[in-house]
Amino acid sequence: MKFNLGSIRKYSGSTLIVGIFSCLLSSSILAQKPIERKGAPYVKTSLNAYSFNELLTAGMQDKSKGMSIFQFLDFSAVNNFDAVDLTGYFFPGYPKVPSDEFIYSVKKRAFQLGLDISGTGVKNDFANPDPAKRAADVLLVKAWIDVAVKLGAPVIRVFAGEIPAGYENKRSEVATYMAASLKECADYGKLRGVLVGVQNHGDFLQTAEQCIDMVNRVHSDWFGLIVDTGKFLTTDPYVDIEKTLPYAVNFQLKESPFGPRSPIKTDLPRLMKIIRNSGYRGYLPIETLQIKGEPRPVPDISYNPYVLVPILLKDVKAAIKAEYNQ
Amino acid sequence: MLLLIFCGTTLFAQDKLEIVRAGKAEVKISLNAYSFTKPLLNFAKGRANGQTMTLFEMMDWAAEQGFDAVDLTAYFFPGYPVIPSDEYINDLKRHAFQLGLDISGTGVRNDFANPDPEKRAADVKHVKEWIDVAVKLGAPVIRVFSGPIPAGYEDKWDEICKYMAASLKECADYGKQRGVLVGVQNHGDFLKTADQTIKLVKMVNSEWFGVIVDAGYFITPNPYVDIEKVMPYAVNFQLKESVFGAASPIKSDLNRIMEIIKRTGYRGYLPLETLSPLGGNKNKKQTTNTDLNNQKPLYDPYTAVPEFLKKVKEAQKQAFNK
Repeated sequence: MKFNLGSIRKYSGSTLIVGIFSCLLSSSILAQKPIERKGAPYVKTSLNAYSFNELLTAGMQDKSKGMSIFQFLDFSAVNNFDAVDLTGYFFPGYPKVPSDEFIYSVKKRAFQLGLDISGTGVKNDFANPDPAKRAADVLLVKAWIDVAVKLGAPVIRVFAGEIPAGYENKRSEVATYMAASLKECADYGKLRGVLVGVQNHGDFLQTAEQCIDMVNRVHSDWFGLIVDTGKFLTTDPYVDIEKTLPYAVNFQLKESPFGPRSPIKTDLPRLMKIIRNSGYRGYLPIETLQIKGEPRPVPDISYNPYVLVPILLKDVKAAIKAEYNQ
Repeated sequence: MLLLIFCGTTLFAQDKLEIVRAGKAEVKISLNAYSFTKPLLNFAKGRANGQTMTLFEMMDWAAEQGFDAVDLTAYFFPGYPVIPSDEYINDLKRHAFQLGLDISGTGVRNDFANPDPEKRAADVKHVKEWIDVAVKLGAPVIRVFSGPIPAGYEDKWDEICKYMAASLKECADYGKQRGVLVGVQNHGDFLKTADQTIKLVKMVNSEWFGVIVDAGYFITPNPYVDIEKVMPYAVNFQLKESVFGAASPIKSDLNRIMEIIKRTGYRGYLPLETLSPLGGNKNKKQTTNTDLNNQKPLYDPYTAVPEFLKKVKEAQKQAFNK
């Protein structure tokens, strides 16, 4: 069928034209191809620095306290992780980009400890309706893509952002401008050789469908999902994990699929079966979380990552061994 | 007294070059692209005859075989020694990542034993350019050579070492500036023994410089001793089928190598490299008890690598209980 805009206008006026164009626009959200992976399914373990959030934050402010990023690397080596995931927040001066000297000393130390760097991540909000705010965060992501290159991190984790007040019923409007910002990041990632992954963080992205819709909108070979096993806000998060795996570029494996306050532990054998069946090859960074603050009146629960991380790692390794026989 | 202090500080500076690693020894297995030299070069140089392989195909194959990483020698980048496009490098990097493969290192061809300063300067420039490629690729370390002893310089090891160290220092300084470690490989050339290799490392004297331990290229009666000696300076490896060179029928004692790694606390990659028994270093062939007139089986990396990998993984399992 050939479109003749003149004749359409004759019959229907400009409203129809707008209608047709928005139709074309929505059908232009092409499905992104799943990542093609070769070889038998295979996973390596990594430790997400955020597990030591409070200690690393304290260490940045006062060297005599908390933990330095180098001590974090030592801890990861002593506990025999394959890699580390170095969240941007724990580089002194964040969100300013760290000095080359600092980045390289971290990269060298990780290498000498036999640790790869599985990824990095930043704080951003692409759900914000203010274009200036989003543009500022695109700049932040781009600056940290440059850091990722220097660090040798193959992928950077970004957020979607919280649904802004008053936008509860405007998902598609938010999704449209969010996808545009993410596309800018992915385009820069393509230019610099760094994959960009958006994390389902229980914010704007709560379900597998929402995540895949975003992947399709961004539609870039340099864009994918950071599968957070603890932040799908659905009744059966395992189903969402399974659905998003074809687009997974990295992971955050949590202690519970229902958030840090839940007493229900992640069913690691089930999770490993799902991951293996998907053919995923890559890192499984684990992340333990401190339970602090809201919702009150639930009290803070004492948190010691030096204890909790090795426990989760042991369980994850046992589940990997059982499922993969590796 | 003054002399004593001077000696003391010198020693301290040297000790600093030994890498102190935390945790227990641990190794991951990588595949050195050089094992597939022939098909990779056939493709890179556009040769019509013979089997070809792209670096992408080599990575697919490495993933299928269960390697943790790949070591991407520069020669196999189409156009080498011309610097590849960002697009090509980025695609390689993404392809590796999506296969679950890390990139354990890269390496170039250079000759810092050459007495001609211009030739050495040109090779320093080449190493620097490829350090830039390593950054883009996410390769943490670049392998360089020392070079063969030039004719007429057989008795001038120290003289060569001096100008070689200066060139290597330039590379290491640039590596420091760009965040890439530089490692020199003991290649049975200028570097035949652990002592020679360590002497050079100390002369370069940089925290961004170390040794690519070639387990098959110490030209000594007992290479295991040399391997162990250089381990504190190891920034990467090349694990070979024989510690006595490609032409030797004596297989590497992998259990012994794993024990050395355990004892020395090395944490890092063990890239494997299989070689055609008919290629390589003449020097080496003379030192080994090999009859080259024997009918050698044709070298086929598609079978040689998996066989070697299996043995390495068995030794790894035994040593590390993995």
